[in-house]
Amino acid sequence: MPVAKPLGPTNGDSWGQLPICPGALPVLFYKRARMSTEAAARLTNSAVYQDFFESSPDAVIVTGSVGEILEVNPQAVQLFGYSREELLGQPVELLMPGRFREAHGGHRRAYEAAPRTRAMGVGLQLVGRRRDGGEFPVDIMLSPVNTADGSFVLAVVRDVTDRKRAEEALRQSEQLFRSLVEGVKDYAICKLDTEGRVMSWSAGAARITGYRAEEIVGQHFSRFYVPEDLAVGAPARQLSGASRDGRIELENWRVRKDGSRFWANVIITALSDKSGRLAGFAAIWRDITERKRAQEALVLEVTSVLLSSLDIRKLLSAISSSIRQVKPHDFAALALYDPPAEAMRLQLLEEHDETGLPAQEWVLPVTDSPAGRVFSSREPLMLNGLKAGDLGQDPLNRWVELGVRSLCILPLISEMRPLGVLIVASRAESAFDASDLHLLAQVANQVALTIDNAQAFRQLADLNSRLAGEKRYLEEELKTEYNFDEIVGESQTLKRVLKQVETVAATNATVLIQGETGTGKELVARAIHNLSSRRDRTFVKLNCAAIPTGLLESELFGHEKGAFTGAISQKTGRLELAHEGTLFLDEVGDIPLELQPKLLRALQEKEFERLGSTRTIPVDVRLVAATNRDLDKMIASREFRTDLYYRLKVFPIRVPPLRERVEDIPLLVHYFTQKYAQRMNKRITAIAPEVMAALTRWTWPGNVRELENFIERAVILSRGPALQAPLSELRMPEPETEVAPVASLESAERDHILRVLRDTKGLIAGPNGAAAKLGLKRTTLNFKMRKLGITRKDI
Amino acid sequence: MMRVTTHKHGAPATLKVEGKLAGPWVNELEKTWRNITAEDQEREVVADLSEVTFIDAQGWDLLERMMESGAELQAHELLPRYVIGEIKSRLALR
Repeated sequence: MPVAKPLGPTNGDSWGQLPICPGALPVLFYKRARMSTEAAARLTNSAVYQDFFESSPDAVIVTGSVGEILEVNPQAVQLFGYSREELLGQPVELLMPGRFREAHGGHRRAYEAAPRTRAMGVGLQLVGRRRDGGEFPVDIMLSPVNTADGSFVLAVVRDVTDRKRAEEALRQSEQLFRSLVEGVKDYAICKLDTEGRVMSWSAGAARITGYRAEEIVGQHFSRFYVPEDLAVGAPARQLSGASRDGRIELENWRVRKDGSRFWANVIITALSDKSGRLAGFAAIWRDITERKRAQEALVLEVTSVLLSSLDIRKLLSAISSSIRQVKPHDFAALALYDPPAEAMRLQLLEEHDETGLPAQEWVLPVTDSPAGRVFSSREPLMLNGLKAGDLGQDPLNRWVELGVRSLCILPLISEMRPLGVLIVASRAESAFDASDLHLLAQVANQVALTIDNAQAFRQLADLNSRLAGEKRYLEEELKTEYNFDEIVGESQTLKRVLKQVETVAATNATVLIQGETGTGKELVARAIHNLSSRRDRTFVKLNCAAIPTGLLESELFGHEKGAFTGAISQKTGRLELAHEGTLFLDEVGDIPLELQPKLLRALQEKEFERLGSTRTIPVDVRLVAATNRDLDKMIASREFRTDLYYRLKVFPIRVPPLRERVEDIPLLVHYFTQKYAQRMNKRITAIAPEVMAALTRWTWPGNVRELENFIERAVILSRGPALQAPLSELRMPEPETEVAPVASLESAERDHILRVLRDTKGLIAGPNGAAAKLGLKRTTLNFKMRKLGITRKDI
Repeated sequence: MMRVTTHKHGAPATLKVEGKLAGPWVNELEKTWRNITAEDQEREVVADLSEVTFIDAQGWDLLERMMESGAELQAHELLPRYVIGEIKSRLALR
C-alpha cells in the first residue's frame, strides 16, 4: 500500500480559472510549481474558487512538472481513499496500478512536451487504483495550465465504473442480439434508412437473397422487388404504409441476386428516434416459397378433384375431402342460392345422422342470418366461441346445439356472381384463424368455380340429352306417315269435331280425346298441336298400351344411369322431351293404377323427378290424352283414379266412329285409293259404284283404320284402272262388333278368363288351376287379371 | 308441302298444283290465283289438281270459290277428281 508523503499546498500555490473545455468537466485549476508563497496563499484563500473546486462532481488532481500531486479536491480523496495530506507531494503514479506506472512516466513526459487539453489515453481503457489496491475504470481529462507562477497539469478524473458496466451490459446485449439475428438463418433481417437504403444486413438476409452485406449496404431495398411491383410503386407505398401505421405485413414475390423469385412473408416496422421522428425501418422477410407451393399444390389438387367431379353428388364428396385436407372440421355444408325461393338451400357435404334433419330441408335466409350476410356482403365471416342460442332461430343453431363452437363462412363467387356460401364448422372453441380463412378462401374460390362448372355442365348435359332425345324422336316421326294432320272428311259430324279442335288448340288446356279404335284420335291430337302456339316445339307421343308396364314409368319420366337393373345410361323421358311442346298420351286408360298418382303430380305441379334422381325437373307441357276405354266404368271398378280422370277431362273431345259419318266414306275411299296406288306405282282411275256402295254400307267396326287397310288390300289386288275391292270380306255378320267393337277382344278375354276361373272355383295355380287350363303361366294370368280388373268378387 | 306452277302467258292461264292443299298452303294458292285475276278479272284460269294428294276443309272452300269465280278445275287422279265432282254437285244444288 503506498504511503503518501504530504506535499501540501502551503508552498504558495493558488486557484485560477481554466478555459472551459469540451466535456463540461470542472475547469478549475490549481496553480503551482515554483509558485511563490504569496501565490499559494492567494490560491488557498480564494473562497470563490475553493467552492468550485470542492463542489466539482469529479475528482480533480493538480500535478506539477514532474508528476507530483500538488492539490486534490474532496472527490479525489473520496475516490482514491487517501487523505489529502497523504496525496499532496506524491507522484501521480500512486493513483494507478503498478503495471502502468513505469510506462506512465514516458506518457507524462510526452504530454509535457506537447501539452494541450485532451482526454488521456484515447482508445485505452484507463484504470485507477485506490488506497486499498482496488482498481476501477476511469476517464481522465488533462489540461495544461501555464501561469506566471509556472506550469502545471490539471487532471479531472471520473470513475466510469457504472458507465462501463452499463456499456458492457449493452455490449453483451447487442452481442446477444446480433448473435440471435445472425443465427436466424430463415429470416432476412435488415435495417433501412428513411429513404429505404439498406443500413444493416443479417446473415439470414445474405443466405436468402444471395447478397453479401458489403454488396448491399447503402443500396436501395427496391432491388428485391419484382418488376410488376416496381411498376406500381410498391416499395415507396409499403414504406409509406409502415410509416403511417407503424407496421405492415404482406406476402409477395421478391427477387434474389441471381434473378430468381421467392415468395416472401414481409414485415416492415417503422423505427423512431427519441423525439418520435422517423429514423428508419426494420424489414424482416421470410422465404415461404415452399409453403406457398404446398398450398398451391393443395389448391391445385383440390381444383383437379373438384373439376373432375361434374356430377353434383360426387362433387359434394370431393369438396368435403378437399376441405378436410385443408382444415379438419366436424361439419361442412354448401348453401346455394335458390332464386325462386330467394333463400339458400343447405346441402351437407357429409352424412351426419346426428343432425337429424335431411339437408334439403335446411333453408337459410339471405337477409337475417350469418350465412345470408356473407352471401350479401361477399365477405367471409369467422365466429369463434359460439354458445347455444347465439344464432337464435338460424338453422345453423342446430349445429351449435350439437356442440359446434366455431364457424367459418365463406362466399362462393364465380365470375362476380355470388352462388352461395361454404360453411365449415368445428367443435373446437377457436378453430379458425386468419391463416385458415386465407386458405379456405382459396378453396372456396375453387369450389365456386367448380359448382359453376357443374351447374353449367348439368344444364348443357340436360339440354344435350333433351336435344338428342328430341332428334331421335323426330327421326322416328319422320319415318311415320303422320307428318301432317290429314283429317279427311267433309261431314258435319267431323266438322263439329274440327271446330272443337280449333277452339281448344289456342289454349293450354288438357284435352281428353275419346273414341273407338281407328277413329283418328292421334290425328286430332296432332291437329291440336299444329294449331296451337306450341306448333314450333315437339309433339311427343307415348302409347301407354304399347309399352310394358314396368318400363312405362321410365319411358314417361326418364331415369338416371343405374336407377334400376339394366339402366346402363341416362334416359330422358317423354315428359321432359315434350318440354314447351305437347305430350300425347295415347291409350291413357292403360296406365297402371300405381303410376297414375305420379302422372297426376307431374301434371299438377308441372315438375317431376327422373327415376333414381332426387333432382326435380320443372316442365311446361301441354297434355293431350286419348283412350278408347270407358274411363267412367274404369273409375267405378277402381281401375282409374278419379282425380286423374278429372285432371285429364278438362276439355273432352269425342271423335265419332266412321259409321256416324258415312258421308265421308267415298272421300276416304278416293283418298286412300290414290294414296296407295301412287305408293305402289299403280294407275287406278275408277271406283265402281257398286264397290263404293258396298263400302258405304259396311259398318267399319275398325273405323278409318279398318277402311284404310281394306283399301290398301284392294289396291294390291287391283290389276286394272278400276279398284277391285274384296267385298266378300265385308259380308261376315259380326253383331258383337256392332255393339261394342272396340272392347270386344278385351271383354272376350275377360269373360273367358272369368269363365275358366269359375270352372276352377277360383283356383289359379296347380295342374287343375285356371292358368294351366288357359295355357298360361300363373304370373301371366295374375297379370292379365290385374290388367282386366278381375277380382275374387267377380268369380 | 305444296307446289304451285303458274303459266300466266298462255290462254288460259294455268295453275298446276302438286302435293297437299291444306293448312297454310291453301292461302298460298289463293294468293297466286288472286294475283292472276287481279290483272284481268275476265282472265280464264285453269287449275290442274292432278297431282294433289290431300285437300283439307279450307282447300275445299278455296276450290269451291275458284270454281264459283269461273276457274276451271281439272284432275286425272281419283281424289281431286272426286273433290271436284263434289264441289260441282254442291254448286249445282245452290
